[in-house]
Amino acid sequence: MSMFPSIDIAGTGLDVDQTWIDTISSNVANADDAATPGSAIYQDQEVVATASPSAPGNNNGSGVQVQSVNVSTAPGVLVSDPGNPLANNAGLVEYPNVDIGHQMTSLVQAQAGYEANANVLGNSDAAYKAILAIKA
Amino acid sequence: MDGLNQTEVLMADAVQSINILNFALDAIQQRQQTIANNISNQDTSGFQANVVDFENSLASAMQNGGTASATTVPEGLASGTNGNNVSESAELSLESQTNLENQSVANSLQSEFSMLSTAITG
Repeated sequence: MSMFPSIDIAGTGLDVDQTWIDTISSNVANADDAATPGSAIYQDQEVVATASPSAPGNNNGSGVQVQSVNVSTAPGVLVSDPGNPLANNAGLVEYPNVDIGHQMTSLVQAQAGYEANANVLGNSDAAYKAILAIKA
Repeated sequence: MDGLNQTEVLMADAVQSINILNFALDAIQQRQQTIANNISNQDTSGFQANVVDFENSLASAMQNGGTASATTVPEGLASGTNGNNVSESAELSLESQTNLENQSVANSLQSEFSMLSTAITG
């Protein structure tokens, strides 16, 4: 933590939300990646956040951090499309198990979080400037 | 009371006010840090929001003497399905309020310093 902890904390929030948005982008961009039979399918990725540990004596928190990016192990979704060159012997094409509805709601959440943290950063900046302006 | 004593009394008052404002400014900083932490963790599973309380302690210290302190305690709102109890709207409104308090305390400190400065240099 620097001299201006509120700004640091808002920054950790922005970092995590950015990672979250990046992950959602990746999931959406790869949602239609059909796999050739026998090859690995794209797996949905989910960000897990956790509160950053604080130094002893700091009861006010240190922000947030990415704990892990969990990669799903769910099997792909099989769609019947016998004419597709990627179809297997049964005429089924394997698509990633990405739930677009879930991705979109997560994106709205991540955006709202990003905005809130950006707001805190701006306000903290104004608050610190008010203090720095004090002179005898 | 001659002129010099009056100045001394004024200066002692100013120093007392500066000490109180200084404490308030520190406590407000802590509150801002806690709000920033709550907002940054608004999507963290299991996270519980904290609040900083100092007004009661400060009021009591000013009335009865003693040392004021700022304490960080759990906010204690009901948690959502992921065990998180951060209310973004509550945090953002508290943040705006805290910023105004910060500004007003900073302005008061500035006035005290200007007054002291005038008392010293005339």
